[in-house]
Amino acid sequence: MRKNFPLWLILMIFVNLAIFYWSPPDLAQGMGKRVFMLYLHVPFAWNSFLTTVFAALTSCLYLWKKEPEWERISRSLIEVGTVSAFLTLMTGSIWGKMTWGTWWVWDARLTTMLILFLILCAYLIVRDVYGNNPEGQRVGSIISIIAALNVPLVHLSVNYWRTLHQGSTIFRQEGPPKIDGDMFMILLACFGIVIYWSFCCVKSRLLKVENE
Amino acid sequence: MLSFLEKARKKPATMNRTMISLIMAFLAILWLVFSGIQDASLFFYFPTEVEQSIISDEMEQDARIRIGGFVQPDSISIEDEIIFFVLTDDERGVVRVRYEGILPDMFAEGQGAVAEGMFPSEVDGGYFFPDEWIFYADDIFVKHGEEYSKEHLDKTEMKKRFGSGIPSGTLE
Repeated sequence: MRKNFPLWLILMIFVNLAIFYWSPPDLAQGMGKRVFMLYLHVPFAWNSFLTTVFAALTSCLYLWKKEPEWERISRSLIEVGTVSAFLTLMTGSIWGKMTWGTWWVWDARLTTMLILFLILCAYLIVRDVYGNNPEGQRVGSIISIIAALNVPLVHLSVNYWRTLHQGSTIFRQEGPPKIDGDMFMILLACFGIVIYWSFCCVKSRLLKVENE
Repeated sequence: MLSFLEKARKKPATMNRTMISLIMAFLAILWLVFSGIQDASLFFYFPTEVEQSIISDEMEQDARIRIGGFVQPDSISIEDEIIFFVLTDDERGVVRVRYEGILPDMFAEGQGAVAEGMFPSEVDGGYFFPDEWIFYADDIFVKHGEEYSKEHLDKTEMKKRFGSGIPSGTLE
């Protein structure tokens, strides 16, 4: 990441401009100081889902092919996913305080997201306890698959249970996304940057393992 | 801190025991959380449901519940720092709410809101009307819709969007 410093600087400036200057203020939530949470919270949430699902896929490949490379990719994906899930909970908590008036409630969406975060933590603990041996890699793979099974539960929780958290904006069950076009473009750009960030994290982790 | 884990790493014989206890702890957490979800699966009742259970005499007094709907326009009144307002929903169920405290910033008429509290059986002070069910809230959450739109809209459109919090709202 140090090598790409100019690139990251440009991306940072772009994100800040997009969020604080280009983004239109939201109707219900006012100026960017509230809506900018949308551009952090949502990409991190999607990223934690995506990395967890990909980690489960590579874990399946590991369990099938027994090649430790797959497991290494899986572990670094989970590491990124854990950080993303933590940031999702944190930004969500701040956003919740600003809009709902509370840091935390035990509704279905928040609870299932916390479970996802705890399962990812459990993965990291288990992998650390075992060290790098086939048994630990197997157990870790199974836990990552359990984590991925939880992902649809988190996503659908707002549809199947009555929650304080609002429903899905983009992936709605019926009808088009309920979001302004400009805001959607900025959201996509932020999501792209978060994806690129996790890609860089995984890559540098794999290189580090190879050098050891 | 995690010295017992270090030991487990060094001694393969105790590894299985550590593993089993970890898995047990993990399952215990899962069980706790899922039994918690059973309670949390219904975060609030709609005013219509509350009204119906009052009419059919099923509503328990002094039981903590949450009621969620949107704040009826022109229903907010403040008497001696005590806030009264009416929560309503699409089926025109109505619950009067009494609240003492600081409201969230986004609390407004037409906005979705969830009130946590109870219908008390006894009240000290002069705000108890035996013939009328008043919900004594001690916590108010604002519920906002899933829409994100630009600010320049006319007022009628704005009210429509505000009402969409719970469920797809129809404010007139």
